[in-house]
Amino acid sequence: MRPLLVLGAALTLAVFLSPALLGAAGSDALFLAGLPIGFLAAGAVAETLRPSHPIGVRLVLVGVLHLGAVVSSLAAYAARDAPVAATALGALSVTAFAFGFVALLDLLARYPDGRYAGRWVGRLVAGALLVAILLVVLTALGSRSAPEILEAGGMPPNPWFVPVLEPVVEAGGAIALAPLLGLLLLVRRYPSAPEADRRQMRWPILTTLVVVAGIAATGVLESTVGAPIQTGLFVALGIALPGSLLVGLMRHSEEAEQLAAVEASRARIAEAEESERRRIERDLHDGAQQQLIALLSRVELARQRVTDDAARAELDEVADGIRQVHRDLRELARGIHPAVLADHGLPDAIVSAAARLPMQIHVAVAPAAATTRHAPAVEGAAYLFVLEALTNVVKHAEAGTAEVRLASRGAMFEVAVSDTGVGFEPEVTTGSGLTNMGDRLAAVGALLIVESRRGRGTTLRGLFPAGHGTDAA
Amino acid sequence: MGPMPPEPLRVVLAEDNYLVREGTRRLLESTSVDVVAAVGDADALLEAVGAHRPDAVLADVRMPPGHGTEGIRAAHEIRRRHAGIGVVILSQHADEAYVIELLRDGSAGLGYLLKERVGDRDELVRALHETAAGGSVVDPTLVEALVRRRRAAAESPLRDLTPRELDVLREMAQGKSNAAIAAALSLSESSIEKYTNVIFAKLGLGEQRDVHRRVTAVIAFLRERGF
Repeated sequence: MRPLLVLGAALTLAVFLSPALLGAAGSDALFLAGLPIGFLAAGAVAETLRPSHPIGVRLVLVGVLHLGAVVSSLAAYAARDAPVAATALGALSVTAFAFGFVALLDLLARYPDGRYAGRWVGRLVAGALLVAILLVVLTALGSRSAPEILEAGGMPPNPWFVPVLEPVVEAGGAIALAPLLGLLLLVRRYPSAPEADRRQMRWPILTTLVVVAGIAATGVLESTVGAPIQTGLFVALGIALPGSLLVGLMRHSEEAEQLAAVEASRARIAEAEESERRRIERDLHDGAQQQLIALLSRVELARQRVTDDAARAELDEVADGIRQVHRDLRELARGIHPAVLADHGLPDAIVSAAARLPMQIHVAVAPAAATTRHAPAVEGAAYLFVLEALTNVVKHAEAGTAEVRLASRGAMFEVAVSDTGVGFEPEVTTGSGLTNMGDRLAAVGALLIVESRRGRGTTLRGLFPAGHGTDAA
Repeated sequence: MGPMPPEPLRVVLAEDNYLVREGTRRLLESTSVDVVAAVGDADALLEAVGAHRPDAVLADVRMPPGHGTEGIRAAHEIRRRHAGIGVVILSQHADEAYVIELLRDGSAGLGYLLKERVGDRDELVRALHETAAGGSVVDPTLVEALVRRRRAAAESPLRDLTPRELDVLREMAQGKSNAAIAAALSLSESSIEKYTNVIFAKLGLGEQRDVHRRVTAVIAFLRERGF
C-alpha cells in the first residue's frame, strides 16, 4: 500500500509541474488528472482511517493507474521528436488508462464490503481485463500516429502502424464503458443487500450514474457548453465519485465495527459467566461438599466407637443431617453448573436434567450429535435453554409429555423442545421470558425460533454454533 | 455378604482432599482394611498400585490436574494392567453417565458409590471386598434413579414387572449375587433364580448367569433412551 501511495504522490507532482514544462498540453493534463487525484486522495484517507480495508487499496489503484496514464502521455508528448520512444510511452499510457477502468469496475463490483456478490462477478471482471488487453493492442497498432490520451496533437507517426486496424481503432474507447458495467453491478446488488450496505450504496450509485451519463454525453456537452465547462464538470465528478465511495465506506465500517465490538463484548460476557458458573460449582464441590464428606467420615468413626445406644442414635441423626445438607449442596451446584455437562456433554446432561423434572420427557439425539462436543459457553447456553424450555412446559403448557431433540445442522446444531400442550400466539403474546431467552442465545451466536399456536403446542428451537470454540477444554 | 476373609484387605486410597483422605483412611483402618498407600492424584495412584499390588483401590472420581473423570480413567488403566485388583470409585456425581462410563467395557471388579457412603463404613468395606473378588457394585441411589426413569417412560417393559420382580431387578443392578439378593430380600436362593429368569424373559434380555455381565446388561437396559 505504501509504495502505491508514494508512486501516486510522485505522479501527482509530475502532473502539477507539467504546465510549467509543457505548456498547453500540461494544462489539459491537469484537468484530466482531477478524477484520478480524487481517487488517490480518497484511497489515502480510507487507508488511514480503516487500514487494510479491501476498498481503500483499490481506490488508490484506480488513481495511480489513471495518473500513470496521464503522466506517460505527457512523457510521450515530450518525446514527440523520437517516434519509437513516443509510441512506446503512448502505448504504456493507453494500457494504464484501460487497466484503470478495469480497476474501477473491480472496485464497484466489490463495493462496499470488498467481496464479489458471486463467483460470476469475479469471472466478469477477469473477462473485462481480457477485453481491455485486446483494446489496448488494437489502439497501439491501429493508430496512425503515436497513441496518447491528451489529444494534444503534434504526435509523430506510429512506427508499428497496421493500416488494416485503422477503421476499428475508435473501438478502443469502449473501455470507458467499464464504469457503466460497475454501475449495473451496484444497482443489481442493491435490492438484496442488507439495509446497512444499502445506505452506503445510494450515493455511489448516484454519482456513478452522473459520471457514466457525463462520459456518454461528452460529444453533446462539448458542442453546447464548451470544452472548459465540460472539463470542469469532470473535475467536480472526480471529487464526487471517489468522495461518495469513501463516505459510504466510512459509514459502513463504523457501523460494522460498532456492531462487531458489541457482539464481541456480549460473547465475552457469556463466556465469563460460563466460567464463573464452573468456578462456583468447583468451589462448592471441592470446598463445602468435601468438608461435609470429611465430617461424615468422622461422625461414622465416632459412631463405630461408642457403645452407648442413645449416643449412637444421636450420631445417626447428625450423619443424616450432614447427608441432607450435602445433597442440597449437590443439587445447588448442579443448578449452577452440572458437572455431567462438562464431563460428558450435552446429551447426558439433558437426559439427567429431564429425569429430575416431574414430567415424562423423551430425549432423542441424532447419532451425529451424540458425541460431538462444543465450546463450553455454547454447551452451557444450550443446556440452560433446554432447562428453561422444559420448565416452561411444566409450568404453562398443561402437557403430559415433552420431547427434546438434538441434531446436527452443518456448522450449527439444533436443540428443539416441543410439547403438545395449550400453546400460544407468538405474535400476540408479549412476555419478557422468550425475549430474554433469545438474548441469551444471541450472546453465544445462537438463534431462537419460536413455533406455537393456541391449542397446537409449542416448539422452541435453538440453533447453536457447533464445534469447539477457542476456549474449548 | 459373605464372611470376611481372615487376611486384612490391602487397599490403596486416592483422594485429593486431605481431610476426606485422612477421614476415610482412619475409617477403613478401624476395620480389617490395611490402607497401604494414600495418594492425591491419578498418576500417584497408578504408581502406588504398581508398587503395592493392593487387593482393591478406593478412588475419587475427580482429581487433579483436570478435575474431570481422572478416577474413572485410572480405574480402566488399573483393570487393564492388573485384572485382579478391584476398584471402587467414590463420586459426588449422582449421574448415571459416570456409571456407564465406568462400566463401559464390563463391570467385573468395578464399583461406583456416592461419596456419602463414607458415612456407612460396613457398606464401603463390603464394596471393596466385592470388587476385590471380581464382583461389581453400583450405588443403590443411582439404580433407583435409573429404575424410576425407565418406569416413567411410555410403554416401558418395566411396567410389566411385579413389585417383587422390581426389587430383585434393583438388587441385580447393584451387582449382588443371587445369594446376596436372597439374603437382602429374605427369600430362598432358588426363588431368586426363578425371579431372575422371569425378569430376563419379560425384558427380552438374554439370560446372564455371570453376575457382573448381568450388571452390565441390566444397567444398559435401564439406560436405554431411544437415541
